[in-house]
Amino acid sequence: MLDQVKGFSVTLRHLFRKPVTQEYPEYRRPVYPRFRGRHQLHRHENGLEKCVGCSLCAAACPADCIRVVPAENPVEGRVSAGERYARIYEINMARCIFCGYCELACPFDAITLGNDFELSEISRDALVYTKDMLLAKPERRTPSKSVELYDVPVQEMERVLGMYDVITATNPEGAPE
Amino acid sequence: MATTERPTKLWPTLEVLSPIPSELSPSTDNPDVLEINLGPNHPSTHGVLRLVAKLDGEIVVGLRNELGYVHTGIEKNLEQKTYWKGITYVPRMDYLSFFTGEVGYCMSVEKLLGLEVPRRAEYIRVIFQELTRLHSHLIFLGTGSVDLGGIALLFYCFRDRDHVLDLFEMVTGQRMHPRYCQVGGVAEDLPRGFEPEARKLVRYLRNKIGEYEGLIEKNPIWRERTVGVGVIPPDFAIKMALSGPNLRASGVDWDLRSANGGYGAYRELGYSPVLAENGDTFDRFWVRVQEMRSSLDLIEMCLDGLPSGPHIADDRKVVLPPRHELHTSMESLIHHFKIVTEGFRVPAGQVYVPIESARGEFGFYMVSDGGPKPWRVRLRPPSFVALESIAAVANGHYLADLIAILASLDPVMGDCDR
Amino acid sequence: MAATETNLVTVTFDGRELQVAPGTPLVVAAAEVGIEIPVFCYEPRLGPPIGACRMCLVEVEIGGRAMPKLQAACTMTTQDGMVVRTAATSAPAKEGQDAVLEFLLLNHPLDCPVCDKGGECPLQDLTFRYGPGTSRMTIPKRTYEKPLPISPSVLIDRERCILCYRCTRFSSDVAEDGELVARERGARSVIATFEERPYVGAFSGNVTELCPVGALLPTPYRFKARPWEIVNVPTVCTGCAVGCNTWVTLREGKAERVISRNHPEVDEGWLCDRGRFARHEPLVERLAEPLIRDSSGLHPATWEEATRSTAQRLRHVSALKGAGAVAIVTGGNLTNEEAYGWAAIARSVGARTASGPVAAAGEWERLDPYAARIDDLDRSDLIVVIGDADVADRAGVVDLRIRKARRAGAHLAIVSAGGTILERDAGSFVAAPAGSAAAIVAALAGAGAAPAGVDLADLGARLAVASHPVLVVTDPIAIALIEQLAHTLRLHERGGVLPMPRGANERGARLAGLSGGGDAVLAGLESGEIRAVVLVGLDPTAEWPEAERWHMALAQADHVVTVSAFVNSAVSWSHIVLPQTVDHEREGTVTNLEGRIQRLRPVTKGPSGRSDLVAIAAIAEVLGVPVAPTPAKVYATLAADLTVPLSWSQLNGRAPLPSRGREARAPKKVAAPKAPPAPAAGRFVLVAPRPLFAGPAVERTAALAHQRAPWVMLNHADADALGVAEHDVISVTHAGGTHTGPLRISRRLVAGAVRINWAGAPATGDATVVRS
Repeated sequence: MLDQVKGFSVTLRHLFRKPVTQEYPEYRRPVYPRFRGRHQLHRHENGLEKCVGCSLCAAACPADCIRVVPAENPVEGRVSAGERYARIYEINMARCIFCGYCELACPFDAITLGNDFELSEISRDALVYTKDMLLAKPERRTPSKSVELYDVPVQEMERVLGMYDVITATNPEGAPE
Repeated sequence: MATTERPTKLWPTLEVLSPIPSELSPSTDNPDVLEINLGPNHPSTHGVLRLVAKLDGEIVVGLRNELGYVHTGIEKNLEQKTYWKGITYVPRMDYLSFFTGEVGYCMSVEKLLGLEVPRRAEYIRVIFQELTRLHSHLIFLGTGSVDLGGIALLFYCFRDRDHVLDLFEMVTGQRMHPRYCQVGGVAEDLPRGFEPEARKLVRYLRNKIGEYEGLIEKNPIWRERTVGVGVIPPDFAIKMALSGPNLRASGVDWDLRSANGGYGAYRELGYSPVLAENGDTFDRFWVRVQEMRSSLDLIEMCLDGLPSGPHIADDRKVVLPPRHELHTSMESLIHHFKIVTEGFRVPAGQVYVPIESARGEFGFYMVSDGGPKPWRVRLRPPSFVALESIAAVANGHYLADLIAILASLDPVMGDCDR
Repeated sequence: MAATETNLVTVTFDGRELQVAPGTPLVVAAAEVGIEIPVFCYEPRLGPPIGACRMCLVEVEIGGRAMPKLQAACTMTTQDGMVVRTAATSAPAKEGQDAVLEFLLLNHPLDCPVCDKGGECPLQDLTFRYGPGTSRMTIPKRTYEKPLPISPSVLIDRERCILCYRCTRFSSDVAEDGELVARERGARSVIATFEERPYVGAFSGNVTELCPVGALLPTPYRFKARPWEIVNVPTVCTGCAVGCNTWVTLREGKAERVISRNHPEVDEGWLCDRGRFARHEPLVERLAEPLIRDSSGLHPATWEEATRSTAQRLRHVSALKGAGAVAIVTGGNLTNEEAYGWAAIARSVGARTASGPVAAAGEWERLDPYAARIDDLDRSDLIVVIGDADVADRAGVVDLRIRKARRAGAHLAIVSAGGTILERDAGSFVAAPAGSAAAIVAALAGAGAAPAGVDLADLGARLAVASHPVLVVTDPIAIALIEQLAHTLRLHERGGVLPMPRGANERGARLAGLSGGGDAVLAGLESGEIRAVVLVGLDPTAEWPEAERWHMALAQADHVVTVSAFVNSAVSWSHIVLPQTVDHEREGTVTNLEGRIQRLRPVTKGPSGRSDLVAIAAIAEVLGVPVAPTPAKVYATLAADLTVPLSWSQLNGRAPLPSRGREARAPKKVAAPKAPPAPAAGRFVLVAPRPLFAGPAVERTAALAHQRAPWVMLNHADADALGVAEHDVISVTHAGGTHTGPLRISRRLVAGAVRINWAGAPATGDATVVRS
């Protein structure tokens, strides 16, 4: 009898607790600023693409999901800031493992991994993201938590060992919550 | 409340099966023996394990493991990839104890290179190894309890597991398979918000673990199902090369974090392993729950004593140079380019680096021919070894107990099949 | 040998002792004990080392006394008792090496991500392996305008240049064109051509491979691929009969570039620009599917229809008109296996075959007892080149071998009408009337008189005493004549003859069974004896002499089957057209001018997607002849037939050339050649050997447009008489057409002759020369 009372008291207690369930998709939990989601290609402020089509991201990719076909930058209507540009830039999101090595490999901070993770599609072909798709801002932005709190290293070591500081600085999704 | 006497220390004898240690054949030609398949798609086989059991009534008299359903050729893949890229492959084996895979892989490369890892990196590695252990044990507890018919723990454990993964997401950018460990240290320093959140989690989990302990220890049904079931005597455990919690449940004091002085920051932290006495299914659950407590202790110790300094070694031939130098320094750009494309070269030699993953001794045998890719990689997955003993242990048990024993050995099939 | 052993000296490298010949460069000696001394400028193929890059600095101690300064291990040679400490063990050497790299990188632009060399760049590799990881450089780097075309096929980026002088050494010491030089002094020093004129040379592309940084890069390969995205397929160039070993770089199913795969006995790692840059790639005018003619013209057909129809027509004609009513005429580009297949078909229908325009000029096997290998040139003391055509035009890199032999001390004697590139540095030059190669060979063999005014006494005397003479006849003359000369000179005992086939695999095709000459086929067609003709990889109306007659003859034939990669004028006469594969699309073996059998590997697929051998096997099957559709099987049969002692797998890598019997037979008696007819008054003798840069692939390659720019060459006296000066635009009209280009004046070209780089059908006879 006592055991039953004890048992129900547990149940009763839980009735008044706040549920841990989050009502996705109505509520979109902000991701941490270091989160690695959908890729984003960036432009310079003057509109030129940062990517010069050097294929380092493709070399770094452990899943071999990046394809870059470079071409000579036209004299009229330059595409990128360098001698060459990526004529074709494709990421096969079906193969991508979101390890972020492309972001590490890029010497021009042209590619970063953003916050968005809702990438499911009906067909595999739709998961091959082209350069235009990667340059465009995602339609729905996933919010991010505080950069100050969750991205800035606890030690001011960036100057000496800032493997990531530039990425962090250029993270466009890294807006405060 | 029913209390069960702990059995005396008279260990049952358990012989290693012959001719195949992992295979139990019925001793008689009983025509009533029924052969049934458990798996490969069965909720209680933790992945795609196929157990071919021979039953005499409800008693297991024959058992064979069929493995390899999730074989993905990780060892061969590692031989095709540069050392740097290999880091992303290893955590995909033991996907529950993912970070220990990364650490072990990096440690074996560091040993080949003779590379010193900064103390801060070692401490951070321990924090995340223990977090990944918590993650793994929480899932073990949740799924294990489902196997034994208790659904409540599953929800609790998965809820708490997500809190652990939140920390991974905060620091590494990914909830699982973070590739946070890098050769020479860790990829990024901890963010400012980490320590308070981590301490909050430690406090929270301490409280919760007490609750789960109660759900196990004080639950008569649980005890009925587990106490005295699937006893593994220490000599048999050693013969079958069991390791990790499965071994310590039998009272054998062997934990790589403390044995031979430990490795990494465990050397400084001074860990003493959790041991049980009876080697039964109950103890294998109990040891893991207690280990979660000691993991929390270790995390707290690391947070208290976290040394300052670099988070990754300053070796330009192995570690990617600082990013801002890529725009100014030719030397840095060349080193960055070569590490990314061709990979750093590792001196010829061979190493075996074992580390204590959540399920025991995770060993990395690596042979380098001096090139940028390993010449041979052989991994010793603890799950594979643990599964070998199940046939002998389950001999003569009820079929339902077979499920309990399997759950208590905590195999992960990705780890097992590689 | 004991004698040489006593001459060895003892040198110690990083504690490892080595017995080595004195005078060996330290970098080479160190490599023998497994110690790598990094170098940028050292390259033995470019002649003596110059110690330009200083990367190879080592600490040297001789006889217990240390040399006061670090020494360059490429220029320093071994002496007895030398103790060498490399950067691996010596702190001063390490410091020196680091400093050298720091200097080299000081002004090197941060171009790795955009530079095509990135990933296969010695500067990157050596910096990564030996260099410092950090930079102390804070000042801005030196900049130049870049990239500048040094020629339409090579770009220079002077910022990246580390001034190792490999390119200029190649230009001055290997190709000997002297076009590429270092200009200015010190830090302002740059690699340039004279007055920024384009670097025009048959071998200019080699500098892109020699360059240890991304300073000289091939224009066609610009931004095409990265080293980690490509597959390099080992194959053999089929541009000419040398058979240079190449790697073809494949990316995403496209052959993007050709680089050398050094075979020391064949090409020594050099390629001519045609082999390197000529590409069939823009697939314009490629035939992609079989065509069959009906009353309304040519229409696409299936392979099965086309091959069956071909076989049936051949069988029908031979059954109706008897043996000899069918002819199979092939160009010089078939593989041995394809040639074998066609020969088998020819035998089954009693067809005549032709693998060259004139039968007598293609009997290469007659020269076998006297045949020289290409590397015989290295050992020769006398090289005699007879003929109006340039060696470079006939067999590209053999020209570089001849120059190398000449630099090593061999006497180079040239007998020609003059105006060739090679004669500039020849030891002796004998001017002979144009087209008189046959007469000269006959005269040297004692079978006729020398043409008027040609004094061969000196050459004869040299040939008589030389210990290892190599004879090269560049003009297509009767082989029996050359054989006679070789026999007279006893070249089976010393030296030899280097044959110069016209087609890449003319020799192999003959051996596989396609003997005979086009002249007989042409006569047979004209007399109506031959009713059906198969043209394989050849358009005789464009590539062989007597183009007009071929046009008429083909129009008369009942059945013309063309096997061609491109739409050509023979297609318009054809009843059946079968698409063919070209260079990088074919698999099989080819036989080079020495008789070396080398393997071709398919790199890409042709537009028809079918290998030629499969089509041949299909035709043969209808005719009831067994021809395997796979090259390996056909090669096995062929090797057994020809007693070639090499299996298919032995042809991998660097193909060997087994030694052959040198038993001389009595040569065939040949009549003394007739002197070419004298030109009519006011007309010039035409000297128009087919240039290196000719053919469908060259015409389709933009990077080679400058190489085939037409020019006209006249003797200075003739030019004066005509009142024209250098660079005046001159028109030369001959039987084959009109050739217009700027005038080059030569003092060596014989008077009364005009030399043109005519890329059309072979032209002979006389011509009128006018200023246009």
